[in-house]
Amino acid sequence: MRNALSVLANVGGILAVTWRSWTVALLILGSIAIGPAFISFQATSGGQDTPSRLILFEQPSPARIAPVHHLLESEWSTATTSPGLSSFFPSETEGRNGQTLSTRTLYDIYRFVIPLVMILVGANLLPHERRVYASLFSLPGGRLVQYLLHLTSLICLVTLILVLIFVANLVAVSGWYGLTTAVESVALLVNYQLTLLLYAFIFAALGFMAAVLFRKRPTGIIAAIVLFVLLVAVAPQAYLAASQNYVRNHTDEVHAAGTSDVLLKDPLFVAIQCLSYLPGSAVSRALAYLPEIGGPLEDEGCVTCTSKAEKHLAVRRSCMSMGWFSVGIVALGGIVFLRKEVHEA
Amino acid sequence: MKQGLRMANHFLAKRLASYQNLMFFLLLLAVLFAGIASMQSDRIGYQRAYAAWGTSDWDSMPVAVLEIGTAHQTVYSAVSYYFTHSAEGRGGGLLPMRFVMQWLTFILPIVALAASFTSVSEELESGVIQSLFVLPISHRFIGLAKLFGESLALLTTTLLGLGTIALIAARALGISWSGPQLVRALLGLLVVGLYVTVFLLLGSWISAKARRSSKALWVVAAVFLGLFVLHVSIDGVMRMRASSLPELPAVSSDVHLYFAQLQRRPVLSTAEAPGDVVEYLSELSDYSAAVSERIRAQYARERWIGLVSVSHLFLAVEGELLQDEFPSAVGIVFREGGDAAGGSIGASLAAVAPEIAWLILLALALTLANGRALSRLEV
Repeated sequence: MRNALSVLANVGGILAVTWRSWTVALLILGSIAIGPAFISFQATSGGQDTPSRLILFEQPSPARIAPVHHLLESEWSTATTSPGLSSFFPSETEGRNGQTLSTRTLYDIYRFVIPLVMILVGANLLPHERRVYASLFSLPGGRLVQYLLHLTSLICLVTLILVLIFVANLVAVSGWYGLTTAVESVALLVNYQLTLLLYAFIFAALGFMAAVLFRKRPTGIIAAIVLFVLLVAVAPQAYLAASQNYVRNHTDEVHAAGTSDVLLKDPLFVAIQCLSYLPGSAVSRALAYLPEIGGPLEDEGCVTCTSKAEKHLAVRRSCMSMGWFSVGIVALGGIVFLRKEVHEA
Repeated sequence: MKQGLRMANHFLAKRLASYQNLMFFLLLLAVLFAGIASMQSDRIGYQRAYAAWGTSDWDSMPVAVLEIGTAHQTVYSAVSYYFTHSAEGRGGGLLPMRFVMQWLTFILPIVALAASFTSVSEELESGVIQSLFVLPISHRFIGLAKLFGESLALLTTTLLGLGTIALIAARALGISWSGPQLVRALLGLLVVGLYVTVFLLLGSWISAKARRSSKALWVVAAVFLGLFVLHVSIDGVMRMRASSLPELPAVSSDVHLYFAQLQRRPVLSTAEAPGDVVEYLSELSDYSAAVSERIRAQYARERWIGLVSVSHLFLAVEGELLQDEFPSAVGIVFREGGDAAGGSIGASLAAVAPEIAWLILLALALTLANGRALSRLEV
């Protein structure tokens, strides 16, 4: 009991120091304000009610229009979420993952802003001064205890930020659509937020690790931004390009295989699959499927649609991959922290 | 002067050999790789699909279905769509560059700000600047030499690094470049350099004003968040509403049947289309003309946004420079089939001259502000 209290006191101490940083406070306030601002903006502009497609074409000729005529007739697929959450979650027509920096939905903003904010928060958990490490390492319990305490503080901080974002969004949504809709969707929102929490923690831990690893703070921040770009932008794009290329070059094998399990013997296919389980792609998949699993509509009679069971499995695998990724980052961060040379710091 | 140049040379070499510069280079490399790989993959996919239709006269963009955004966003997407959906590889290497620029709009400011927010404050904290200020050169001159050296290092990394890698990757993937396209890409990179310099100067100015790195960090974080929020808010406010755009003409069952037959038998002669189809196509032309008028009007109005939002300014300039088909990119909206006039580099430059001039003015103003802040710096 005394030990638990001692841990709590230490964590509180670390967070008190962190909270005094204006940068952290500003980043937290900014990330909390974005959701309600976006929701309010959509509510006042009525943007959620308008269809969002525009059709352009060159001077029409039947031969050219015919093959793509279905584009003129087809409607955007309707979102399968309850109306109160349509601004939160992407529909199937949101476009390719990572193709552009779309800011059309709150989800797109969070996918970009949360990792960036978390990297900066993680990098600012410790004041970047030479004497800090010397003091830390001389405290009783040794480096490992200090690392675990900082890790606990980081988890607390990330959870706190995500809870605040959740509450702020819930208040904004309930003010917009009525409390009933919001309460009905709480379970969905909680799942959504827990997935985001895992995603956010990965980047906070990366930011913390980069700050400890590099002697100069700007170098640490830029290194963390590089990792952010690699994970959020480059890896999903590489996955998309590689998988398209694979299907094009192995069309017969893909058709013959029927399920992906058969293709798992091919090392190239396995490598491409691994890319899809990096955080950028994993979170996109999980957050896209979550509302569809919890949504009221079924794709009845659709033979090409992914079934709910498959979506469940995909969400579970995505969350597990993010979990393992965060464990890896925590382990790497531990090595960096434990091997940090005090005189260099 | 000689001492100033030696000092600038020192800071240039120091920055070029730094970890920060290496990270920046890796970042550019990663973004470029993502752009080239995905766009080339898309383009090959569409080319094969069109070839499978057996229609040898495929041009580009028979129908484009786009998200409704601001007029600039719509035009930017439409040009990229047009290049992607071309059988003969229109746009060459400009297409991946277009993709890359969308990411760089936000990545470059944060990297430039992160690289410069300690440029003065750290040296104040470590005492280096006190030693420099003992030299018989004015404070302003020392500061500007440092800024010049560091800006040149980032520019070198951007232009040489990005340019060389783009050429090597294009060669490896078989992406063709024409001479004018190369010049356009180079101009696009120069604007990237200018954009980076603006934020580098801003970061240095904040660093000199804040005097402490911790304070400078939260100020640059606020600046970046402000830039992002401003961009998103402007996009939201200026987004074209579907209700203000003309409605797509309805398709009668006869027209539908006719197109369905064409889809099954693409070689069917279209010379004698039924009256309903001719009427439908005429309605489509009217629709396009109305859309074109609406977008052109808003495109002209939106140019003023660049006065307050540098990210919009950057995208507007790159959108014009990284296309070689139209005198102005907005020409994409109602392109006459097979009658694309083609745009000269001079015409594109003239179209974005005010935006580039504004970017240069911003850089000059920030240089002056830096000089002023450094000359008044108390050590």
